[in-house]
This record gives sequence, C-alpha cells and structure tokens, in this order.
Amino acid sequence: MALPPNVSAQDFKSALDEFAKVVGPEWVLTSPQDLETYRDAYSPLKGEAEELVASAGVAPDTAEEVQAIMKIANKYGIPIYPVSTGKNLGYGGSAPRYSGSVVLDLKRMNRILQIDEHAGTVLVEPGVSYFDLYKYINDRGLKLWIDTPEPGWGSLIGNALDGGTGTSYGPYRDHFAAHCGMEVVLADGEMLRTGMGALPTQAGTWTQWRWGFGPWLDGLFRQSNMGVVTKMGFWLMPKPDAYRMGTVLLPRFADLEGLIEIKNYLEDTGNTQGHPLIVSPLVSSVGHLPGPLYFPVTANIPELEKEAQAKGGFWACMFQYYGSAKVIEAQWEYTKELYLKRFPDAKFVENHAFDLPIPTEEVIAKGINPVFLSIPSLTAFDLGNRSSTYPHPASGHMWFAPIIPRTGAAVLEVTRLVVEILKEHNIETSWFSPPVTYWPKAMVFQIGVPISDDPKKNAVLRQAFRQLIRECAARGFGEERTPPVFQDDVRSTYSFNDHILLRITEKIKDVLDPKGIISAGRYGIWPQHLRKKV
Amino acid sequence: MRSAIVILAAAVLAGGAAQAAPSSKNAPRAPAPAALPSGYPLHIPVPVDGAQGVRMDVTETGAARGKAVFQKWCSTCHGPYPYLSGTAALTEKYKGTNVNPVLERRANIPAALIRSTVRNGIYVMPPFRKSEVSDEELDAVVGYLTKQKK
Repeated sequence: MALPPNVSAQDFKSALDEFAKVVGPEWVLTSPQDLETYRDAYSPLKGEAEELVASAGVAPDTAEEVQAIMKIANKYGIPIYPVSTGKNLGYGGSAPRYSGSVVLDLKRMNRILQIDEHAGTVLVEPGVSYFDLYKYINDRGLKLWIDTPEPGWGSLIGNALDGGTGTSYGPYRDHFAAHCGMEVVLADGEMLRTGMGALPTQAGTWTQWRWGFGPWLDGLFRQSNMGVVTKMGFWLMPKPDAYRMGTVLLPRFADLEGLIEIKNYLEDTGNTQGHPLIVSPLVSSVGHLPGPLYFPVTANIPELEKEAQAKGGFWACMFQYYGSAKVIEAQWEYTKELYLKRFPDAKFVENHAFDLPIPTEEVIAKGINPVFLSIPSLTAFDLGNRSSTYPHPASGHMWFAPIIPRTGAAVLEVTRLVVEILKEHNIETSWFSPPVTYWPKAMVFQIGVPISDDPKKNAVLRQAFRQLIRECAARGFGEERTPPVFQDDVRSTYSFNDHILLRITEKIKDVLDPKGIISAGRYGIWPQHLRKKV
Repeated sequence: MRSAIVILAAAVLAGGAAQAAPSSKNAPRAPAPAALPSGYPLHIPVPVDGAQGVRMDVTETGAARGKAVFQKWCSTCHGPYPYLSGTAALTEKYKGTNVNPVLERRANIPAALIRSTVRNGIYVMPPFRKSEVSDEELDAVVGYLTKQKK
C-alpha cells in the first residue's frame, strides 16, 4: 500500500479504519485500480517517479463527515487534498500537489440546497457540476441562466475556488466574483460560515449579500489550502429575451490599439455584455480554433495589409449582446457608430440576432459555441482530440495563462514572446486563445501546451513552461493559474518586498492549519514542516 | 415562503410609486398595498440547516438505469452527433471501416473494454472515479451498451 510521507504504516491504517467508520468502507478507496482513477490524466510528469499521486481516496457524503475526517486526519497528521469534481484538467485533475496525500473526494456531495428564482441565487455542495445545475434549472423551467466554463462537468465550487471563468454575461464570468458566502471545514474540523452565512437564523441573504460584517475572509479560500469548502452560494443571471452577435473589422495593423480601446469602453459602460473575441482574418485556424495572433517584428506589414484587404480586415472583434431585442440592437448600432467615428473604413458583419430560447441543436447548427448561450458542453475536448487535421491525439495538455493589460501592444508582445519561446523548443500549441476578458479591466491568454506519453518530450515541455513563466513575469505578465507542478515557480514570481505576500500567507496557514494537513504546497503555499527557504 | 417575499416587494414598490408623484392628480393610483404579515418575524427564514436539498444522482432504476447513466456521463461526448468530441474522434478512428462511431449503435463492444476505458481513460478522455460512476452504475452502462441494438 502507498503511504503518505512521514506517516507510519500503523497510523495510516488506523486513520483509514477510522475514515471507513465515518464514510463506510466502500468510500475509502485504496486499491491500485482506484488510485489509478485519482491520477492526473494530463500530468506533465505522467509515468515518471516524480508524478504526483494519491495514497488513497476518501469520499464523504456530508459536511459533517468532512468534519469527522479532518479531525481524524489532524490526529494522525495525514495530508489531505480536497477535490470537488476532480475535473481540473490541464491544471492538475484530481491528483494532489503533495504526492502521497489522501484525496478528499467531495463528488458525492452533490446537493443543490436552495435556489431562488426571483433573487437569482443558488446554494450548492462541491459535487454539483454545471451540467447538474443546468439540468435542475431546465427540468423545473426556471427563468435562470448559468455561466458555464468549458467543459461543463466541473464543479461550481471547485471552478470558482481555482479561479475559473465562463463565457457569457459579463458580471457572471468571473466565478469567484459571482459567489456569495461559503461554508468551510477547517483543519481541526471546526465549521466556518462567511458573510451572511454567519447569522444563525437565515433569511435568504447568505446568497445575496456577500460582505456580512467585518473583514471578508472568503479570499483566503481561493487558490489556497486554508480549509475545505463544503457549501457556496452563487449568483445566477436571469434568462435574456434575445441574443445578438456582430463583428467589427478594421483594415490596418496599427488599428489593433483602437479596436481594443473602443471594445474596453463598450465593456466598461455595459454596452456589450458578452464575451468579446479578438481575432485576425490573417491567422489560419488550428483545426476549427483560431491560431495565435502572431506577427513577428520582421513581418512585412504592407504586404499583410494588402492580404487583409482581400480577407475583410486585419483585425476583427466579435461582440455579443444579451437582453431585450430592441435594446441590444441599439447597443450594436452604437458599437458601429463608435468604430465608424474613429475608423471610417471599418466594416461590420451581422452574425446573429434571434429571440431566446432556441434548441441546442439550432445553436450548434448556427455555429455558435453553446456556452455563449448558457449551455454546458464537452466540446472543449476537441483540443488535442483525434480528427482529420489532428490524426495523432494528444494525451492531454496543460494551460499557460498570463494576465495582460487590455492593450494591443500587450497582445502583440506576449504573443511574440510565447510563440517564440515555444518555437525554440519545437512545441506546437493545441490552442492559443484570443486575448479575452473574463474579468473586468484585464485580459488573459489561455495557451494549451499538449503533453505527451514520452517522458523525454515532457521534460522539454516542462523546461519550456518554466521559461515561459520566468520570461513573462520578468515583463510583468504574471500567471493567474497553473498546473501543480509549476505552482512554486509561479508563486516565486510574485516576489515584491522579499516575497512578503507568500510570507504573510504562510503565517495565516500556520495559524489555521498548524499541522499542515490540507493541500500542502497548493498554489505554492507549504506548511512549516515542508517549507523550503525561498 | 416565496409568495410572501413577492408580496413584500410589491408593497414596497407600490409605496415608492405613490411617493414619487404625490402632487399629480392624473397619476395612476397605486394599487392598495397587499397586507403585510402581522407581527414578527416579518422575514421568513429560509431553511439551510436540515434541508436535504436535491441530490443530482441518476435516479432511474431497472432497465432504464444503464441508459440514464450513459446520458449523464457519456452522451455529452459520445452522443449521436458528429460535433461531439468523442463521436468525432471515433469517426476519425474508424474511418474506412464499418464500425459505428456512435457507441449506442454498437452491440459488440467488449465489456472489459468499456470498463477499462471508463476507469483508465484514453488520450484526452480522463478516467472516471467511483465517486462519479459507481461500480453499480458502470455495470448498468455495460449492460446497456452490450445489449443487442435494433
């Protein structure tokens, strides 16, 4: 049997026996076959001695069982790694950061506890996926929409805690920002409720007023290891009456800055609510996905501008609108007006305008990504999937995700930097996202780096990945999320004032979890006994 | 409980409208406010503790169970549409053969292959844990997929 580090066989056996008394023996999973299912399917260390693996899985059914498990783990010093649905693919899956930890598998806790159609709020457990919530809402005909990431089988709670995002109506796209109140089991088994959840009598405001009274502790549980979140409230959007998509095309290379400036203004004033997509008709697709907006410093811009004339434009931005058909038509007209004022030669494409709802099949037939219309799907698995243009399927991918300012200069600079580093190592990306605004005020690239079954190739990938982290951070482009293998690397780049951010976080960790049993090393936060000197 | 909240909101809105146009004789008359609940508490507590909520498990039993588990866990990638990633990948894999890329339209998939693919994953398809698809649910899927199709 695999043992957690620094735990005796006797103590581990005692802990597992006690876990079994809490959850039932069938939900303490220790066989090699079971442990196989807890491996990170997309691990860049796949099959290597250093691969991050679990020593066991334990799957409770209630928050009270989570409390009992934490007390047992605390007694024996067993490292615990909570996962919600365990589908954090490309960012670690259901495998622990600290190899040998016991995965606390919360998937069985899949209750939708409360939904308020009028307030547009829901309270869920960690095992509830976007598919689940979508089905629940549709089975009952509620007039609510969800903002779903791709793929849709992830947990609302897990996705929000890891910094996940969706692609529909603006204020709901940042899933942590759209949460409201949480219940957390701490390392010693105590239960904490934040915001209005801290009131013993509930009047429905747990999921409506996030600040409660006094300091807001919820941020401690985002991308960290301070507790096990067992309930979270979320805001849901009302179902809109209509949807519209339109594209703005601009002819010159230098127009990128203006394209983004006006897009920013439209977003910041609420004149476009959807997820704007910046693409270039000059960039060829990878499969059906757009490739990187890569124009090297040596590019022959006048030649490319000639080519752009034939293709409709050098740059394009696809805008999406949700709401009343009349209002969003006016918002699209206003979009065109703003661009024409600055770019008299701007061109426009009216992509879609229709009333909602429409059947999923029609959404697909129109070529619209279902997630834009609140429909969860697994079409993201087209990345690295076997197809006629990609005959040798990948074994997964990892995500590189630098945060960049909303400027054309940053788009060009970061794309050049990343593409050129990857070229240097002969690495093809499986997807290089357009620069996107999941959040207000900043953009991010999501860059899929395919992993391999060949450890030698993966060693090259890891080296390139570390170079990307270093070189982007050196220019101020920090990573917002990263696979566990690189979390120390990214953490070390946020180093202002001798790493004071990490040092303070570690102090909090030591108080809340003195034995360091929860998710050691997650997001670069190590407990005292495993801490390396930075 | 919900109707009580709606009534409260309607009463507040009605009051607001009346205050906004006190001098206009032609202003539409606000409807008489609905009766507020008398006494305390005015707020109706929403149950959280003790509330069981709704589990998002597959509830179908008997012959329908295998198909229901397949629909929840497999059909989102392997359903009968060419744009679904699993079906698209198998279409490419079985190009030039007479093997149907839609799993539900095949009756000859070996049970052991279904079990090992679900528990070990393949290429970009990750493995599924027992907390997601239990052994009993996997048996039901195997039963469904290996049953002779029309």
